Amino acid sequence: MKTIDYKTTKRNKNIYLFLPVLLILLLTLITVKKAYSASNKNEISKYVIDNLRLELRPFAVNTSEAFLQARGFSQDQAKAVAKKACIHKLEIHNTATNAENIAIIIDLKKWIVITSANPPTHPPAVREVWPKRWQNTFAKNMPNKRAKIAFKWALFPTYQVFWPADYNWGLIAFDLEANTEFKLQIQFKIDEKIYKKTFKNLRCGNYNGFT
Amino acid sequence: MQLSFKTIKATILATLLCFIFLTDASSRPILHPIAKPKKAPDLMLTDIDGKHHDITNYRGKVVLVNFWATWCPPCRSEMPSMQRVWDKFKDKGFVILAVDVGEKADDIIPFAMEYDLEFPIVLDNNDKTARAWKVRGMPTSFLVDKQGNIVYQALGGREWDDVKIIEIIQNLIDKI
Repeated sequence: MKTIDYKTTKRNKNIYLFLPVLLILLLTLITVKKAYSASNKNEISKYVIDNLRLELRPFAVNTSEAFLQARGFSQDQAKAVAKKACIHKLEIHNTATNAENIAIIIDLKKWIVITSANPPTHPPAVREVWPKRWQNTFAKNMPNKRAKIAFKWALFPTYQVFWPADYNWGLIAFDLEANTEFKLQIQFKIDEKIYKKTFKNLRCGNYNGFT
Repeated sequence: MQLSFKTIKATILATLLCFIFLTDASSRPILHPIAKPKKAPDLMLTDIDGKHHDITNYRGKVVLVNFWATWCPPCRSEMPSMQRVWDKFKDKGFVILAVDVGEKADDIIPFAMEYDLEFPIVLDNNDKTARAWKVRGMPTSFLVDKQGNIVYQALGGREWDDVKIIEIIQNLIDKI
């Protein structure tokens, strides 16, 4: 059998050279990850429980405006919506496997936005409220059909069942002015059990960023 | 200490393979089987090349119906794998109907060209078909069997050429 002596062979030297490089790479990765997490501390809310993984990220007003304009809204319409909608991106995953066969049920109508304003609570502006809002707000300057359809589909579905491996992302509008601080109580059902969780210190996006 | 270099290499390789296999198996994307398969709703739409498609004309074939839009990031990211599964099964009794919701052909053609998509992309301009199929979010996909029943569904993107999904499609194709 061919054998090697760790202290003398060339291959062995390569291994000893490789280890410090690996260590440096690992330390760099950890540092970058920490810095990234710190810089995003107030921006992204993450929540993991059982088989649910949720992420909420505020859009800057400018980002919302750009998104809406790209979907077919006029500049004025996009500005009007983005300024008061407090749009966030919501992402939900069911991380269960087929074997577990656990369904997660999300009903946004049961979520509560909590602010210091009066009234102190209101629900998110779900898909179903927007048709009436287009009529009321833009009666003389109605967004085109294509824009309204795209916005509807870009919004996170009001009610959805997530089977194992399912995930969805979409926009959620909290009906608040830019830069408003608020709390959000979310509710969901896993395997018939109801869970509630309140996110504190959330903030709507500002004009060029988040805070 | 003297060790066979080959033995060390083999051990490291085996450990790595086990790790990859185990993590891959647990995170592998899956489809949700429909407990009581039901008839697929109507789907009669025109594709970006002007050709008309009616899902009832595809009876005897397995159909993947995918609801999507170009502005939806997970929709975009699953398209290359959908093209690969199309390449694999297109001549074996398998059809893909990618239903774009609410966009015009002009919005889609550059995207389809960029991604070299060859399967039919049909236009659901007024989202009537998406509503008929009870789609809530995009992407949502359905696998329709040869008899025209929805047998699997998936919310969110998938890697369509994943071994497990390929196996599901192959089984549906083989089923009489």
